[in-house]
Order: sequence, then structure tokens, then C-alpha cells
Amino acid sequence: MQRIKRGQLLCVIGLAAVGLLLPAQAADDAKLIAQGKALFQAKICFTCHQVDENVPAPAGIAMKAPKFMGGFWGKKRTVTLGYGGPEATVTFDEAYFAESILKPMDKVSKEAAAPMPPPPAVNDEEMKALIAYVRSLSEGGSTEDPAGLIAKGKINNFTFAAYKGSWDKLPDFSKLKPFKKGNAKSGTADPGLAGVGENFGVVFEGDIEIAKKGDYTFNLGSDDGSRLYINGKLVVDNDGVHSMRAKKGKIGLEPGAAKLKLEYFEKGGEERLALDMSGPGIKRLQLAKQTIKPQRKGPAFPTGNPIEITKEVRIYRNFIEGASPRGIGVGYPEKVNLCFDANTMQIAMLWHGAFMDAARHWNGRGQGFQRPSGHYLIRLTRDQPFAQLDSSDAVWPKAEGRDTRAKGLKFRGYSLVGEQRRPIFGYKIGDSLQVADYAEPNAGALPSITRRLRIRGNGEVWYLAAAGDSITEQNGGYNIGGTMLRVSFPELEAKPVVRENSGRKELLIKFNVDGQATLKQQYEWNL
Amino acid sequence: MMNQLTRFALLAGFAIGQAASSRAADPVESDYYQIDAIPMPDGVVVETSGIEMLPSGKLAICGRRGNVYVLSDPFGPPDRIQWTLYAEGLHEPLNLAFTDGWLYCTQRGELTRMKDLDGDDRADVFETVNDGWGITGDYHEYAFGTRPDPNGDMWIVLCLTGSFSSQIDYRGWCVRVSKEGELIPTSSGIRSPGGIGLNHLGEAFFADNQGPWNGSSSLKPLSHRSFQGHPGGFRWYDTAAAKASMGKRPTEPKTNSRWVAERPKIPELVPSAIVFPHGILGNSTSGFAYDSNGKFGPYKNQLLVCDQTFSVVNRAFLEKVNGVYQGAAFSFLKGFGSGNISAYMHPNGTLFVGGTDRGWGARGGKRFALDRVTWKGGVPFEIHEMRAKPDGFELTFTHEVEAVSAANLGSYSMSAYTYIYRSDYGSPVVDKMAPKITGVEVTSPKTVRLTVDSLIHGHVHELHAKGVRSAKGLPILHPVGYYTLNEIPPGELN
Repeated sequence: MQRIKRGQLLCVIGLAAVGLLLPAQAADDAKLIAQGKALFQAKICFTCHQVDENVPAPAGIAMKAPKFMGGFWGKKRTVTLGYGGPEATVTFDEAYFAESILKPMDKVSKEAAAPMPPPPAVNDEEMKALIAYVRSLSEGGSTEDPAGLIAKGKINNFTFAAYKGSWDKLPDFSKLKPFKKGNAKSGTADPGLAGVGENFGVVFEGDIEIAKKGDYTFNLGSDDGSRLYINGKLVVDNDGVHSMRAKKGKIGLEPGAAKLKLEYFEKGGEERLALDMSGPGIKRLQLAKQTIKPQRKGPAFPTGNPIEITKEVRIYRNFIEGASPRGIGVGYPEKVNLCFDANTMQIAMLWHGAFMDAARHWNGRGQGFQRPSGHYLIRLTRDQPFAQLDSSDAVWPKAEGRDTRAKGLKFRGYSLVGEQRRPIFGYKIGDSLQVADYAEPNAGALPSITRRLRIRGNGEVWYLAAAGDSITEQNGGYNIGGTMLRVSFPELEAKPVVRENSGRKELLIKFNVDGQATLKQQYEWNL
Repeated sequence: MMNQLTRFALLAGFAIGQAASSRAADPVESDYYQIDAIPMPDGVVVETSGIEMLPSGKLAICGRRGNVYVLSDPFGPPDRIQWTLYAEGLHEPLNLAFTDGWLYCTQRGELTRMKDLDGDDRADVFETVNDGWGITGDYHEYAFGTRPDPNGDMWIVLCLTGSFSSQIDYRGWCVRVSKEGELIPTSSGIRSPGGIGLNHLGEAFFADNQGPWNGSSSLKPLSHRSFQGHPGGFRWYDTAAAKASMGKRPTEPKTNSRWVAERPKIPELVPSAIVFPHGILGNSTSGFAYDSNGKFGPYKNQLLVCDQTFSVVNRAFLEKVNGVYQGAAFSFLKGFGSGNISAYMHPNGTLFVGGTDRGWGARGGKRFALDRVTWKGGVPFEIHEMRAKPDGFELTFTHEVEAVSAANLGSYSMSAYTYIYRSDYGSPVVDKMAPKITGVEVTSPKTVRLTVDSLIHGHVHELHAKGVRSAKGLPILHPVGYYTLNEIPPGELN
């Protein structure tokens, strides 16, 4: 079990505000909830804390991380004061939530198998949003619905007019006389306001508040037809007799109030109307009675066969999402994991915490690629690590498809060494060079990896240490843009080459091997 | 206790059987062969897919979950066998073969060899011998391999992508990996193998499963440059290695045809040696083993062929007619724990069979299993061999026959049928015929010659010999033989 010392933790987090309290009403703010939901992903809370019964949080299963489901906000829970320390009872409130993020070792949920690893630093604004979101997940105060909408919005100055008639298309309502008119404080476009079941139409009007200039997307679903105008412009046309069907439209809007007009009719059968909007700072703000079910991307993440690591390294060769079909997962007892790709000879991924769950491959026929469990997943370049380049500006050979195999490299297998049985991967470069590729984990609150490469033979070869959108040199290391990755070369005398090639930045090291050459590369999480 | 009762019943039956035949006395499989389940320790799951003996006298087994265990004292009491985790994390390995001091294993993407360097029964080195074939991530892209043949080559059959097409190199092919680690494209036309192995002559056979271009599961002989029936992988004839090794691509077979109709047009097309009629002898032919020295009973060198779905082992007698392998299949043994995939016969006459029902289901009922079969010493009354003759079949029995029943035409009946050779999945039984047995002659104490009015080229000839009794009055334990008549032997001069 990895224990995190408080000192280390504070280094990571920084001395962020402690004991921050928020006004309760802030939690109702839909925008804040939306931001919080995004942060819940960005700060990788989601890998451990399950919030939807259909979407397991794979890493959390092994860690027995508390789920944010059911009624939990405001409830009592048992914690230990320090991991393994005396028990205490706390109330799950804003203060406790914030403290748990900032000082996860102080009060550890008793049900958890391990304390929470420190998440990326959270500032005050982010904390507010996270609190708003997580609080909204709790039953009672929830604005989340099974369709995945995040927040209920409101049409201001909301009025409606209902008409009777049997149509196959939306009529020109301006030429008809409504049988009912009214307003509703809810600000929700609800066909039920008409009070009839079929052969009717409704026109809803009002304003929506736009905080930021930008493009807004409106997602309009209805049974039967509907049409949405914003500021007098037709944005979505979903007319005709049909079952529940969604269409999207986009419009650029300025800050302030935007005029909304929504026309709807129902001939027979079910009457349903759904509308939500997304734009700068808001995501699927619900404006009508019903919701549109998001399309699920593939089956739910299978779990149930976690490969647990105790004293020794564990190997998992299988179809691992993010690597080629020849992925070799390596889980280290230091709670850091990697996936070596035997098609490219590259370390394809690094991650912390839980290793792999074999459920996808050990149940049924075992089809598909399983994503790594755990958290802080870094995807490294998929391209091969070594290449013999004709010149220093020659294009690096690219892994174009999932099945691409390294050019000029040949996988030789691996040996397991030491008490922990860590693998040393072997491969050949051309006919003249042999590589021993050994990853050594460094334990700690944020474990890291030291990759030791030993090249034997004779010849010239280039090594691609990293590639990314940007490479920024800082304190003797290199931050790889768009990732959490920071690499450094503790024993390297000459500086690696940072070059721009085929639209990306590459960090290259050239070797002239005469008998033997070595390289030590540090892979750290830059959080 | 049960065994003693059975034995008693059997002995009593013999006594009664002498006087008057009694149903209760009819022998059963378990009178001759004992199946012992070898229990796996708590928490150990081996979806057994490969079995091999190590020089230490320990048994190595691998499973679809990528683990390899070493079992101490594998012939001792099953519940006292010690299991040690030799290796894990392999990619769905489907065979094990020990040679030259290494334990070889075919993983999905490569042929690997492993070694325990420090004698703790745990592999420390995993060398990639050859990874010259492709995998796309499709679960159907299985790879099964053999022990080395007399030439030192290992034969590896590669399932098609999704079992229908060939999306990456050599899917739907058989390749050999030489002693030097070179890959040699060897045969095309493989669909979805369930197992591969060598016979006593070192010739490779593999089991292909019912599906496109395979009306029923069958056992097929492999040979260099052969085409095994499914054209889905023909594109790889264009690779340099295949051009060098295989020559030109064969003519594509016509769909909705028959094997016998296509064979003359496609010289490379090799027919199944033994068809295991679908739904009768099994649904999914898989691995096989054979007894090389008679310590497992009377079936020396016959192939004991697993079926995954039925959780059984069938028996195959093979012969060559006009240079083409063919022969008869018989039921042999049922009662295995799970879906049999792999079989290994130890020279001492112990058969190990293991498998799993994962993904396709099996009758055995257990999710995964390892079973051990031993011969009890008695010889069941069986059709030992069924040979094709120009005008019928010759049956050789394991015991002397009782002359009256064996010479009685009414003791026998025959039907014949075949399957459509087509690109669609599987086939119904078609072209049903009823060859008439016109003559029967007991030609030696153990041999009967049947004359049949019309042998049908390419058909499975299903023989029922239910009326035949042994000299001691026993019925045939498995009285039905299924002979795949690829070739009719040329007429004899007299």
C-alpha cells in the first residue's frame, strides 16, 4: 500500500486555500455545475468516483473509492483520521469536500481501500464548481438526469399560446387563434401546458440569457414536429409528423438576452418536446420538458477482473486501448504502470494507480481493446523510439495505423529481473544494434518512471525521446505540451535536439554507438 | 464406490450375457476409461488451451487468460497435485511445446519460448522466436501451433479476422517457423482452427470449424502449398515470402458447389480427411493426441480428437487412398468437465484433456477444466479400423466377432451424405443417399468385409453396425462409423 506523506502532498498541491466555504445558493448555478462536471473529468476524479450506475469507474473499484451516487450530500460518514488512524464521523458538506481534495490524507473514507492520490491542483474557482457539481449528483438536490443533461435552464419572460388543429406540418400559427395563453415561472417549454393530448400546437416565447459571445448549439427533439427561432432566425427545423427525433442547429450570439420562439405541434400518439443549448461555458442546458438521450459510445466499460498487484510486477499482454494489438501492460508495485508496444518498441502509455481490468478479455469471447484502469494516464508518442535517419531533418517514421510496425526494429522479447520481476524488453535495430529497454519505477506520492536504455553494437541511430504540440524546456527538463508529461535526462551531457518536423515538436537524441551506449530518461507527471 | 458397483454389474453382465443378452449388462465407456477431474486450487483459473510435459516430470498447462502453471506429480492423486504459476500475462496462448530446453508457446501475435533460469518453476526469459504474422485486435485472430516436426519446423494455423476475412498478413494461413526462427508461408485456406498437431509420422493436421466454406467441422491434413478450402486469405499470395514459398495463387473455388466438383479444378485444394458430422459427433473440432505405444488401449496411432461444444473426445482412423488422407470417425469418450480444446498423451498412456466453454459454450458444464484419462486395461469391443475398398468397406474389430451376427446383412445399415461447399456459413446435410450393403463376409476372426452397391465419391458414409456381437456376446460400444470417402480405392484385379 502506498502511503503518502503530508509533506510530499503539500508540495504537489501547493498551499491552496483551506477550509473554504461557499454560499449554498452557488450550488444551484447551472453554469457552475457544468464547469464542475468538466473539472470532474479534467482533474480525473471520474476515474475513481463513480457517478452513473451505467458507467463504472474502473480505478475506483480496486480502490473502493466512494461513489457519488444516491443521497450522500449532507449525510454522515465514517472516516479515519490519517490513513489507518482513529475513526471519526464527519458530515459530507462543502468544508469536508474541499478538505478532502486539498488534504486527502487527513480524513480518509473508511470504506476506501487506499487514500485518494493527490489530484491536480484545484484553485478556489475550480473548487466552487466541483462542489456545485458533486452536490448536484446527490439525490434530492440533483439536476442530473439519466439522459446526461447537466443542468436545468430557464426561458425568461416565458409565455405560451396553445392552438387546436390537426396538421401534418407546422401551421402558420400567426393566422390562427390560440385557445389558451399563459406563462409559467418554470420557464420550461412543456407541451403539457396546452392541457390536451393530441391535435394541438403550442408556440413558446421568451428570452435566454447569454453571458458570453460565441456560437451556441441548440438540440431540438420532438414528437411530432417543431421549429426553433432565435432572434427571429430559424435555427432548427424539425418539422413533420414523426416519433421522437432530434436535430441540431447553431447560431452566433452576443451577450445579453436572445429572443427565443419555439413552435411545436402534436397530431396523435405521444407528445414529447426536448430542447437544450450548449455554448461557451454551458453544456446541454435544458430548456424544455423532456431530454434527449445521448447516444452511448459502445458498451459500458467492463470490469470485474482487476489485475491486482502486490509484491511483484504483473504483465498483461492483450488488446490495450491506446496501443497496437501487441500491447504489453506492465503493472509495478509502486502503483505506476506502463504499456510497452511490441509493434513499435515504444512505451505507449504511462498511468498511476490501478493497473488493468481483464474483464473485457476474460468474459465472453473477449473482443475489443480494454482501456487502462487507474489515473493520470499519459499517452506518449506512438511512433517508434529508434530510427536510422538519413539526415537530421529527415521525417521520423510514423505509426500511421493501429497495426503499424516499427521500421527496421525487431522485437526480441523480455526477461524478468530482480525480486519484483521487472521486465527488460529487448529489440534489434537493423542488424547491428541491440537495445535493452528497462523501466524502473520510482515510488512516491506521484510515482515516476526511469527508462534505462542500453544499446549495444556499432552504428549511428536517433532516439525519439518525446513528441508533442510543444516542448518547453524548464528546470533542466522538458514539458510536453498537451500532456501531463515531463521528461528529463539526468546523465546526458549533450543537450537533446528539439526540432519541428511534420507539424509537431520532437525531442531527439543522436547516438554514435561504438560498443555500447546508454541513456537514462525520466518520465514524470507534470501536474 | 461407484466404480466397484459398475465393475460388479459388468461382471454380472458378462455372466448373464453368455446365456442371454441383457441390456443392463452392456458395457459403458467408463468400464474401460476413467476420467479424473484435476481440481484447480482456489483462485486459480486456467482455461486450458495447451498441455505439455516438462523434462522434470511436471506437467505444464496454459490457458486462454494467458497463464501457465506447472503441476507437480501429475499422475498422483488429483487433489494433491501442487500448482505453481510458471508465467502469466501471455496473449491468449493456445499451445505449449517443450523442446531444446525451452517451453514454446504460440501467443496471438507470436511464437515465444520461455525458460526458467533459476529452477523455481517460474519463467524468467520470454524470447520472441517469430512474430511475422499480423493481428488487428480482432478476437477471432487466434493462433494454434504444434511441437516441432521431424524437420524442426513448428506449424502454426492463423484464424481469419472475424473468422470471415483476412485483414492482416497471413490470417487464414498456415505458416511454419523453422528451427532458425524463419517464417515460411505454408498453406492457405484456413478458416477458424480449433487445434493443430502432428500425427505419429510427424505430419501436421488441423481442425477447422464449421462456417464459410466448411459445411461441418473437420480434421484436415496440412502440406506445403496446400489450399485448405477458404479463399479469404488469398491476397497474401502476393507477398514476397509467399511468392517464394507458395507459387501462384490457386483458382478460387465456386460457391454452392461440392468439394468433389471443385477438387479437379483446383489442384491445391486438399479435402478434409475426416468430417465430424455437425451436431452428431460434435460442433467444434479442436485439439488432438494419439497413443504411440499402445499403453492407452488398442488405438495405437489413431487420433483422439476433442470437440469443444460437446465436451467429448472422438476417435479417428486415417488411411491414405490415392495419396489422399481419409478415414472414419467414431465416438470415443464423453464426460469431460468443460469445452475441450487441448489434449496431450503421455508416453505412459495417460491422456490429459483441458478446455473452457468461454465464448461458445460447452456441454460439460464447468467454465474451465483439466481432466486426466487413464485406461483401465480392458479392451472395449469396437470397430478398430474402417477401411475403404473398391466396392465397400473392411471393418477390423478389437475383439473376435461372433460369426452369425457379424455375417448377417441385417446387422448393418448405411447412409451417405455431404455438405455444400460454399461461402455462406455452414451447410445443411445434402445429397442424401442410401448405399445398400449387398454382401458381408467374415474374412478373419476380427475382420468383416462389406460390399456396398454404390460408393459415393466425396460423401460421408455413415455405417451402423448395431447388430454385430463379439465372440463373447458384447455389442459394439460405439457402433457407428462416419467415413469420409474422398477417394474410392482403385479396383483390385481379382
